Parts: sequence; C-alpha cells; structure tokens
Amino acid sequence: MSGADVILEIKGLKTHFFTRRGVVKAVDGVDFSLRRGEVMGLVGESGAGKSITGFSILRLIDEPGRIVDGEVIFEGRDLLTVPEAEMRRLRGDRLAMVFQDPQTSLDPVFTVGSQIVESLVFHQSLSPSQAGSRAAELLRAVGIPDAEKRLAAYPHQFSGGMRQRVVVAIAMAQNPALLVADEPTTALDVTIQAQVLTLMRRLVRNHGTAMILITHNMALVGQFCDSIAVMYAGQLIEHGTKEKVIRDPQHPYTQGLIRSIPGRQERCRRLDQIPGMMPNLIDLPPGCPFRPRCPSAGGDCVQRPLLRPVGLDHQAACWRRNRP
Amino acid sequence: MTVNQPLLRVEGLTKHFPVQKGLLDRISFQGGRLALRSQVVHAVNGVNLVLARGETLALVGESGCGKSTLAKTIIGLHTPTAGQVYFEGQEISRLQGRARKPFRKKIQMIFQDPFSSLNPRKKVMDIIAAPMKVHGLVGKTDRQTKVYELMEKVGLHPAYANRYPHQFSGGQRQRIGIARSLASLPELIIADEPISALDVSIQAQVLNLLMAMQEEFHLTYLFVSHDLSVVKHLSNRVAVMYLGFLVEVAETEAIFLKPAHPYTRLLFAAIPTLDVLEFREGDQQEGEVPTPIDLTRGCPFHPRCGRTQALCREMRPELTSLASVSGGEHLLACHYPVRD
Ligand SMILES: Nc1ncnc2c1ncn2[C@@H]1O[C@H](COP(=O)(O)OP(=O)(O)OP(=O)(O)O)[C@@H](O)[C@H]1O
Ligand SMILES: Nc1ncnc2c1ncn2[C@@H]1O[C@H](COP(=O)(O)OP(=O)(O)OP(=O)(O)O)[C@@H](O)[C@H]1O
Ligand SMILES: [Mg+2]
Ligand SMILES: [Mg+2]
Repeated sequence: MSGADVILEIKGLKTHFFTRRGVVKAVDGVDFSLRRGEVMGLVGESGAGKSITGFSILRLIDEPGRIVDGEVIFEGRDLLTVPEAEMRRLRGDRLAMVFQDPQTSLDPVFTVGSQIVESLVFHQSLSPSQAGSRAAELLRAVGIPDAEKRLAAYPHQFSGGMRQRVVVAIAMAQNPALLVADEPTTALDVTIQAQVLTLMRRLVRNHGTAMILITHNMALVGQFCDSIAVMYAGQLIEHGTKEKVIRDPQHPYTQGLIRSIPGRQERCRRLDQIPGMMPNLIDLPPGCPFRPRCPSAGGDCVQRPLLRPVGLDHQAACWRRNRP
Repeated sequence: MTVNQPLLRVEGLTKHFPVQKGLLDRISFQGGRLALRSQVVHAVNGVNLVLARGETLALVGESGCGKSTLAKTIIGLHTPTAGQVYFEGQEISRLQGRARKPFRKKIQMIFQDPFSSLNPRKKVMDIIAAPMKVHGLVGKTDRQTKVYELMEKVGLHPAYANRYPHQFSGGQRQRIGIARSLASLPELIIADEPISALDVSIQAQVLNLLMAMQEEFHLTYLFVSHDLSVVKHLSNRVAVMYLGFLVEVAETEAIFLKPAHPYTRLLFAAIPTLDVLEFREGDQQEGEVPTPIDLTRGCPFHPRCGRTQALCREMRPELTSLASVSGGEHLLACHYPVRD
C-alpha cells in the first residue's frame, strides 16, 4: 500500500463502555488503513463492534463509553486530538456517516425537508431557497417519488426504506472524503438498493471518497467493496481483498459465516450456523475470542492471535492459519 | 371451525393516508370552479390475501410499496380505509379493547425497526416477560426461567437480561423483539424484515429457530423481506406488491422459476449473489418515478414497464388466476404476462 494515498489510518483503537456491571470492550485493538477511493466492507457478528468502530472514527461516543486508546489518522491528523469545535465542522463536511438507525439522525418533530435544508445551509452555505430545490434534487436522486411534496412530510410518514434513503442523501450531499455507511441499504429492496449503491459508487469515482460499508449482506460486500474486514468480539480477525476473503477465507469464523449464507442448501432445510454465541464482551475469555466456538481450537489459542499475513493482501488472526 | 378455513383472510384491504399540505396547495380549479382537493397516499389498495395455517407467505416489493402498512393494518395498528381482515373466520379489523385482546395474543408482529419498537425504559427481562404476564400464560415464579430460555433460543446471553435496549447493538435488539413475539405463543407471526439487521450466521440461527417453531407449534408466518435468497429458502408462497397493489402471488418454486409479472422479473434480476464479485452500476430509472400519491390510470407498473401497450395505460389489470403447470395457484395482475 503506497503511503501517499492513505487517507485514513487506524492504529490500536480501543473503545470501552464503563458500565456498572463491568467494562464492555466493544472495540479492543483495531488496526486498518484506507486509501483514497477505496471501499472497505466491514462485516461480522452482530454486536462485534462494527458500529462503535464507525462512531469512534467520527468521535461520536457518548458516556459511559470512551475511546481509551489508539489513533485515528485522517488526512495526516489524529482526529482523537482535534478540538471538538473543529470536529463538528469536519463531520458532515470531510467526514460523513450514515447511521444504522435512521431514527437517530432524523428528528421526528421536524419535516424531512427542513432537516435536509438545515444541513445544507450549515455545511454548504446555500441560501434557504437554493437549499430547498437542492433538497428536492437529492431526494429524487435516491429514487423518492414526488420529491417536492414529500419534503413537507414528517419522518414517520415515510416508509423504513425512504427514511434510510433520506439519510443517505444527506450524507452524500457534501461529497465527503470519508463516508462511513452503517447498513445503508438493509431496508431497501434490491432494485432501489442497486440505485443507491450506484450513487455511492459515483461519489467514490468522481470525488475519490473512501468508504467504509458496514453490512451483513455478504453478496453485497462481494460485489460492491474492494476489501473486506471481518470483526469479531471487538477485534478484526480477517482482512484482505474481497476475492481472498470470500473465495478463500482463512479464519474459522469467516468460513462459518460464508457457509451460513442461504441459497446453497435445499429449500426449507436448516441452514448451517456457527454453534454457540459470541462471548459476553464484559468478561472475554483470554486468548482468541472465537476459541469457545472454534472447531479447530487448540492449546496455543489461549494466547490472543494478532492479524498476520496469510497471503498477498490477506491477513488473519488465527494461530492455525498463520503461514507467513 | 371447518378444516379448510384459512387462518387469515384479507379482503379488499385498503389504507390511505392524508397528505399534509397547506390550504393553498389543495385549492384547484375544476371546470371553472374552485375546488378543495384532498390528496392521499394510496399505501394499500384493495388487497386480497389468504393464509393457510402452517404456511409461510413472503411479502416482497419495492421500498415504500405498502408492505409495512399492510402488516400493521392486519394486526390492527391502522384502521383500514376499506376492506376486512378475518382471523379464523372472524372479522377483526375494527375490534378494540377487550374484544381485541385474544387476537393480540394470537397475532404477533416483529417490527422492522428494532430501535423504536422496544420501550427504552424497560429492561429486557420485563420486555420479554410482558406478554406472558398480560395474557396470563406463565406464572410469576416461572417467568424468569422462561425468559432465559427464550433469550438462549434467539442467541442472546441470559446474562444480558437486566440491560436496557440502548445498551444493545441493532441485531441484538432485533432478537429481543423476536423473543418477545414468541413469548405469547402466537398462531400467526407477522415478521417485518425480522432478520435484515442480523449477520448471516445469526440470521441462519434465527431462521432455523423460526422454522423449528413453525414445525413445533404449527405457526403461520407472513414474512416481509427484501432478501430474496432468504425468501426463496424459507417461504411456501410469495406475494409481490407494487404501489400498494398485489401484482403476483404464487408458490415459491414456481415464481422463482417463471416469474410472470414484468416487475417480478425486474426484482429477481437484481438479486446480488456471491457468484459474481463485481459491481454493475444499476440503471438510473428513466421516466417518472411512480408515486402512491397520484395513482396513474391503468396498470400501476406501466410507466416503468418495457412492455406497455395501450390497454395498460387505460385499464388496471385484476389479480387473476394463471393456468399453472405445477397445479398450484398462480395469481397475476398483468395484461401481457411474460411467458418465455
Ligand atoms: N451504551 C452502551 N453500553 C454498554 N454496551 C454497549 C453500549 N453500546 C453498545 N454496547 C455494546 O458494544 C458492542 C458493540 O456494539 P455495536 O453497536 O458496535 O455492534 P455491531 O457490530 O454494530 O452490531 P450490529 O451488527 O448488531 O449492529 C455490543 O456488544 C453492545 O452490546
Ligand atoms: N403514518 C403515515 N402517514 C402518511 N403516510 C404514510 C404513513 N405510513 C406510511 N405512509 C406512506 O405509505 C407508503 C407505504 O409505506 P410502508 O411503510 O407501508 O412501505 P414499505 O413497503 O413497508 O416500505 P419499506 O420496504 O421501505 O419498509 C409510503 O409512501 C409511506 O410514505
Ligand atoms: Mg451496528
Ligand atoms: Mg416497511
């Protein structure tokens, strides 16, 4: 990876939640970097820390959570040391995030139109009337019919997928340098999904936007992304080009994940699933977090494995797979 | 109750919402006279549907086409503008209060949005135990064990029982909703995108659970989903909705083998699979985007359809039975079905 092109570099990121019951290690030592125009898919077990990783990059962690360690170097600066006022300006300008829950980004008491306009006026210094017609344009671009009329509607009057598209439209409006999109298309049917993804691809192509796409849809990651990172219990356990990770997964968790995708088995049969569940993040067992569920665990797995090369552009954190 | 009586029958179900607009926008001239136009969102239009006990019917269609509204109208969260909902032969769509209570137990819904459908001030334990308490299903002493059991079934650590919803990830919250819906031992579960927030391995776990529960308790599912590979795997029949109308209803194998409606074709062609690892840019829709506000004359799909003829612009095709090879019923609303 050439250093010049790297737009985001994350080193040893740790975000913990200090709850009464103990410390939830939601993100516990994550490293990766992203080049301009690279699209990385972030997949993994539900609750593994994908969203919290995204929030941490934009520094949107609330009490009782805290980023306890690491660096988030964006365009050469460590975001974790940037003053909050500056951070607020960066968010929605150079950095944008589509939240998994469109409810949190849309205020139920204001119309959809006024919320888009507000964001446009704040970040792009458009006049309110310019912003109004730009807002309608944005809605049309994400396939919402009757855009002008719909601007006057409140979020609850939109369907789940329409809300999601509004949020995507707002995030893309300022052509950010880094877009973290958390499940941006889960509520969308496949045709509209293709349409929204096409818009994102154009953003990447025309503006060199780097993108982190958090999703559960493996087929989508396979088609849309350049690289894939797999997360489990707060750590990255596999990272590589999409071809490597999907066609030749090295970590037993990734292998199980790919086996459980429906479509290969006979209809109505039970699907393959990974037995057991992810350990409680409060008292993680020492060593490899996947050990209790791993079919090939052995004595050495009591040590925590780190991401190591297992091939060209391919890393995995597993003692069984580490061939240098 | 006769043996052949369907569990659920929906007849001519229609739900329209008023569009909020200023008075000035609604005034128009009609034949030289001032008229007050009231605009509505035609979310669900005259839907007829039958669910047999023990089957899984998948409801698919474009975002915003009315799937959630149909689901919510069936379960009684919206009062229909027109039409009826029969559960075991009894009309239930306008029942309220005490009269509704038995159906609140028998019909459960798993909501699309796991974030707003859980009471943020209640602990998981109380959320899942609530239906047991309300419907007097499980005695106080056994409730805790029962909740732990359900949590394990959906893959949640019982150790999390005393946490509040906001302390969970999206997928974990969705599983709380699923556990709650199973707690009242329902007969019909309406699942609105129950698994889209879950990773594939937990998806598999939850789908396996839903299938096992169906076998064990002879449950019936109305399953709303955008994930067509899941639909294909799980459902017995598929209903395709477009702009609030049902446009095709058929057995799963038949419809995936030979989709007859041009919209169904379009939808199935866009399914991403792992066979290709390449992104093809989607076509940006040409022409007018369809709208549920001003319903066009004729077939709701005609503005986007590549096969439109004069008749399609004039007359809306009814959902009628297509001669099918497999013997199963294949319903279609199209003047010129795709036949190859
Ligand atoms: N406010 C909080 N207090 C305590 N724990 C929290 C809090 N917010 C999140 N967590 C925990 O942090 C972990 C990571 O959560 P995160 O939302 O990042 O998961 P995720 O990988 O995005 O999952 P999903 O795919 O289900 O959205 C989860 O196990 C969650 O329970
Ligand atoms: N309370 C409401 N008031 C006004 N309009 C509404 C209301 N609820 C839904 N609608 C409108 O009804 C139409 C159908 O919405 P619905 O939520 O049923 O769609 P959906 O098929 O579930 O979509 P998705 O797949 O995106 O969840 C949309 O145009 C929506 O804006
Ligand atoms: Mg998440
Ligand atoms: Mg919906």
